[in-house]
Amino acid sequence: MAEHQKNKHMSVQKNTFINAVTQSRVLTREQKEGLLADPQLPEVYQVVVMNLLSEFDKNSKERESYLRDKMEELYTEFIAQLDAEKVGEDTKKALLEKTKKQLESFFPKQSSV
Amino acid sequence: MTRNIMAESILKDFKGKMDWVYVGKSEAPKPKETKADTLFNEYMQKVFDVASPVAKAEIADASDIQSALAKETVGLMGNTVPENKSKFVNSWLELERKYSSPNNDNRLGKLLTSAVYMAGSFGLNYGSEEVANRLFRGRDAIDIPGVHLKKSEGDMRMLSAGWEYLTDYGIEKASDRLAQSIANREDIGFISPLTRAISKIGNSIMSVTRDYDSPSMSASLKKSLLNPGFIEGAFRFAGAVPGFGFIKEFYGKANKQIMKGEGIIPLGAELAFNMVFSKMAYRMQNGGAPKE
Repeated sequence: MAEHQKNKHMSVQKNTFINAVTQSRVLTREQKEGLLADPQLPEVYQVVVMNLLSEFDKNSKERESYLRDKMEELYTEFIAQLDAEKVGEDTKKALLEKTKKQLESFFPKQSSV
Repeated sequence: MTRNIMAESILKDFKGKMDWVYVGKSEAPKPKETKADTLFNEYMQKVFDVASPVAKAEIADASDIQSALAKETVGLMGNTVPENKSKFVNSWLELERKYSSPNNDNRLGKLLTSAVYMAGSFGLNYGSEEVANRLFRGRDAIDIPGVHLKKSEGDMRMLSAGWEYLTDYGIEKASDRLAQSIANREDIGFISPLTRAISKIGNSIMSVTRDYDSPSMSASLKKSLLNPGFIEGAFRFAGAVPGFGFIKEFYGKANKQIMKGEGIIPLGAELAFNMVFSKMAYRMQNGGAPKE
C-alpha cells in the first residue's frame, strides 16, 4: 500500500515537472529538451526547478496582465482621440489595424517543446 | 535559441522603430506629418513608456532565474561527477553567460583571452623542451644519484615521455589556476576533458614516434603546440571566430560525451603507463629486449 502511494506520488510529481518545463516561459527549447530527456533527475532537483519556473511564470503572467490592461486603456484613449480629431474612417481603420498588429506582437503565443 | 519571453518581442518591436533612418540627400522632402500621424506617434510613445519598464523587469527576472537554474544544475553535476569535471562545467557555463549573451557578444574579449592562453602555454612548453634538450636528450647515459639511465635501454625516451607528461600536467594546472585568479573564483577551470584527452593521446603517439636522439628546434616547436593550454585556447579561439560556431557546437558535444564516459585514472598510474609504454616501444623498435 505504502509502495503504491509512493509510486503514485512520484508519478504525479513527474507529470507536474513535465508540465512546468513544457509550459515554461523562461526556458529555451534546448533547455526544455535537455530537462525532459533525462528521466533520472533527482526529485529534489526537480522540485527546485519547478519552483523557480513557477515563480517566473507567475510573475510573468502578472506582468502580462498588467500590460494588457494598460494597453487596452491606451488603445481606447487613442480611438477617442482619433474620433475627437475627426480623422477619416480609412485612415483611422489603417492606424488601428497597424496598432493592433503591434500590440499582438507584444504577447507571443506560448509554444511547448 | 527559441524562447517566448514577452520582453524580447517588445524590445525587438521597438528596436525596429528606433533603427529608422533617412537615407539620401539632405534636401530630400520630409514626409508631411498629418494630425493622425502625430496622434499615432504620441500614442506609440505612451505605449513605449508603459511597455519598456515591464520588458526590462521581465528580462531582469529571466536572467535571475536562468542564473539560479544554472547554479542548481552545476550543483547537481557537481554531486555526480568528479571535482575537475564540475570545474570545467562551471567554467563553460560562465563563459557561455559572459560571451554568448545576446546583448554582450564579446567575441573580441574571448579571442584575446584565448590568444593569451595559447601564447603563454606555447612559451612554457617550448621552455620546457629546451630544458629537456640540454639536460638529457641526445645523451647516451646519465647518472642521477642511485640510478644509471642508458639510452640503449630506452631510458632516455622514458625520461622524455615523463618530462613531457609532467610539463603538460603543469601547464594544465597553471591554466586552471590562472582562470581562477582572473575570475577570483575557486570553482572554475579552463582545460576541458576533450582537450585533456587530445593532449594525452597526442603525447603518447609522439613519445613513440618522435626521434629524441637528435633534438631539433622544429620538433620542439611542434611539440609545444601539443599541450592542454594551447589546444584549449585554440578551441575557444576558433569557436569565437564569426562563422565558426560549429566548432563550439562540436566542442560542447564532444566534451559532454567524454564527461559521461570518462574513467578516473590517477595521475601516477597515467604517468607510469606513459613512461613504460615509451620504453617498451623503444625496445621493440630497436630489435626486442636489450642484451644484458
